[in-house]
Amino acid sequence: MTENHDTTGESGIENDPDVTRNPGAVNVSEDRLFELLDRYVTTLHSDDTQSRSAIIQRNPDLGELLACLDSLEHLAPLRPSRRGPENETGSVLDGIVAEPTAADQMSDAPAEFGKYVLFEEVGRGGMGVVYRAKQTDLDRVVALKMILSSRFASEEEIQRFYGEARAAGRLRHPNIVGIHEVGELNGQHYFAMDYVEGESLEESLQTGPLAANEAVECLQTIARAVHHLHENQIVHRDLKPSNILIGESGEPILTDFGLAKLFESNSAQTRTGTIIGTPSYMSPEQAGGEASRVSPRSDVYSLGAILYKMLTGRPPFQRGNPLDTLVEVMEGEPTLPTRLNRSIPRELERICLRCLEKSPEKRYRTAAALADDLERFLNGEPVEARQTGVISRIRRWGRREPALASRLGALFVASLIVQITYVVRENGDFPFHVKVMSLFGLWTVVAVVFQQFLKRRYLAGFTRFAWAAADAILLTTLLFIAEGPIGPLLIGYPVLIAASGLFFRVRLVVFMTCVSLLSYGVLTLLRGDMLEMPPQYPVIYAAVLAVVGFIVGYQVYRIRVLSRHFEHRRLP
Amino acid sequence: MANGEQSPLVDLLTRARSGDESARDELFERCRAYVTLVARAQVESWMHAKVDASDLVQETLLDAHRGWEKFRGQTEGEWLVWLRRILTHNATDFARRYHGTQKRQARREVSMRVRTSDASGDFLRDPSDPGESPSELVVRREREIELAEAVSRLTDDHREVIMLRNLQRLSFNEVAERMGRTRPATQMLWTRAVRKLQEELEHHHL
Repeated sequence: MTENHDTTGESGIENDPDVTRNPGAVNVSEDRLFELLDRYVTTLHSDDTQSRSAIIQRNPDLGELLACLDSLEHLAPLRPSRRGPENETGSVLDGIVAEPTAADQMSDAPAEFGKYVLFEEVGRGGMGVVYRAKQTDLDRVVALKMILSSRFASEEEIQRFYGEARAAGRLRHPNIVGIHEVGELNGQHYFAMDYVEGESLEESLQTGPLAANEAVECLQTIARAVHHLHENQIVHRDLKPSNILIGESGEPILTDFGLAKLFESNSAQTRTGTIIGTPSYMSPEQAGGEASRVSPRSDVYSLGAILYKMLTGRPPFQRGNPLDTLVEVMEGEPTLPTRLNRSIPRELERICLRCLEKSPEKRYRTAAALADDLERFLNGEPVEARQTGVISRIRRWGRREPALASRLGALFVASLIVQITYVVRENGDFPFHVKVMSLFGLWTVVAVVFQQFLKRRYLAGFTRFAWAAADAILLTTLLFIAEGPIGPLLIGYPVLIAASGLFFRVRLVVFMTCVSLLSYGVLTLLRGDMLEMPPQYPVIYAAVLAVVGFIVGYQVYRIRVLSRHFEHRRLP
Repeated sequence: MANGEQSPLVDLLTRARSGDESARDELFERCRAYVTLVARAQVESWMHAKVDASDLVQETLLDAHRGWEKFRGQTEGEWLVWLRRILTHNATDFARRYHGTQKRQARREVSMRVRTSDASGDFLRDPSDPGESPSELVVRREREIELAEAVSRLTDDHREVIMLRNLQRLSFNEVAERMGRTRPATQMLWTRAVRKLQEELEHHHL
């Protein structure tokens, strides 16, 4: 029974004619079975997974028995050398002798990750977590970025990630963080890059804005590095002060480039995390999600936003929540930098605003062109960024102060109509015309004053309501003195309600609706001719007004909910 | 095996958690064999001698009963890890007493809460750990309970040889010495014990 011992040790039991197919049957060569089982247990005890799986593969008949041994092994107390999820039983024997238990210290020990030893977490972003780590074979400190595997939707995306990372790994530039390695360990994708000791630009700006020349020199270096990326067909896509590290001698070093685009693909899930996360430095085409329009000029925009931040201490657009910031990035115009900091030279402001142009065609063609213009500024030469024309300045003002611009536009059109009709109608009532026109004038003055209040942050919230009330009162006054019947002119109230919705504030809409209803009521009582109609008409009008208010308010509420939804999806 | 259906232990655990007393008693009863086996394996492998661990088992189950409110896990995995934690804690005390060492320091605090693996801890696990899918883990845990029950149903000799060879990882020379048999006889006994155990498991499933 015991002859034919296989000395290679790996051959299967099925080669042995004595062994039946069923290990549970009585007539099995017990010595032979012992050999195999014993060898299997030895592989278990020595953690020799390779030989272990070889035995499993060669002896499918023994599956049940081997599984049984596996389970027994799991029941056994853990050996001190083995560290697994149950390492709390680590080496209790030591615990009897020594005071603290080994298990308690386990978590403090530096974690190993392949050939790296992880020290501490130094950053966390949309893509993953960054650790300071030591590469043991080369004995150097690196920054190890672990990519959250949930960020990859498919195998294809992983391939793209590797492609991009390799392209980035080929770059050599003193102001760009070098990538040493990209890889995967236990399903965890990671890449290793230079570890830069020191703070990010974001942190160093917390103490306040930089002096103009200092900012220009810094941005010039960054722009040249960005140009180097562009020359290598890499668009950074996520330029912002927190992605710019300050090296030992104060030089800026770019990090987190190129790879960013992988995570804002068409999938909405991946996009919300990154786009909504930090829209302050994002170009309008990125903010609008037009991935196909993203180009090196998008990075030029971000460079301008960084310059703005360095000069003024705040990004061009920054609102309380991502939705408002996004709307601002796409439609608004930043406060002129010189308004925030009078010491900023006009020419530098023009350079900055040229980068921040909404349309990519109007920005600098390349990051190098921006760097060159900054150099001209430093040398005291005339800069390329010219004073823009009257029309574009008006357009910019309109974007900067939309509340005032829209009202002035409406007032201008209304007074124009009134003026033309007065001229055309020969028997016009002059005193009455003067009254109407001066009311328009008053309205204009009120608007300009309110705009001034709106600029003061602490007054802005209150001003919007006061301004809404003022509009309703002025409209009511106008309707009161207007010649009757004024039926069609009552369209003014729904317009006020609809316009109040543009500020995305439900409370403002509700307020405006109430004020309009009140004003309409007062107007009806004051004007005698308003009651010369079937009594149900005013009631119907008031009800419709309330419905309009409800619809606008509900629409705003919906947008708010969406905004909150995206905000919560933002990664920590 | 028990893959397809909802495992009975999870069901017990859920019912026990929702306040069903009889389910809780049943849960503890079902785990007795498991705790006994693990307790013996642990204590005896430290002591290098045969030990009566019934006090330790009793104490552990009692502690688990008392600390029931503090158990926050939901899966068998968490449950068994929790049990093992209490057991390890008690076993350490037990070993001290056994050795006659005075307990100089206060009882070590053992968190009654099982560390839940978080996202960052997940990839920090030992790289040599091949990793298991949660469902594998559940099946394995379920198996551990059944296995412990099966071991308790074996004859004394069979149980002993498995205890020494598999659970205490002793070499056959040591096992033979402890059992007072020749080495070939011990090896034969062990082979039969493993087969018997597997039959026992299979039988139980039918």
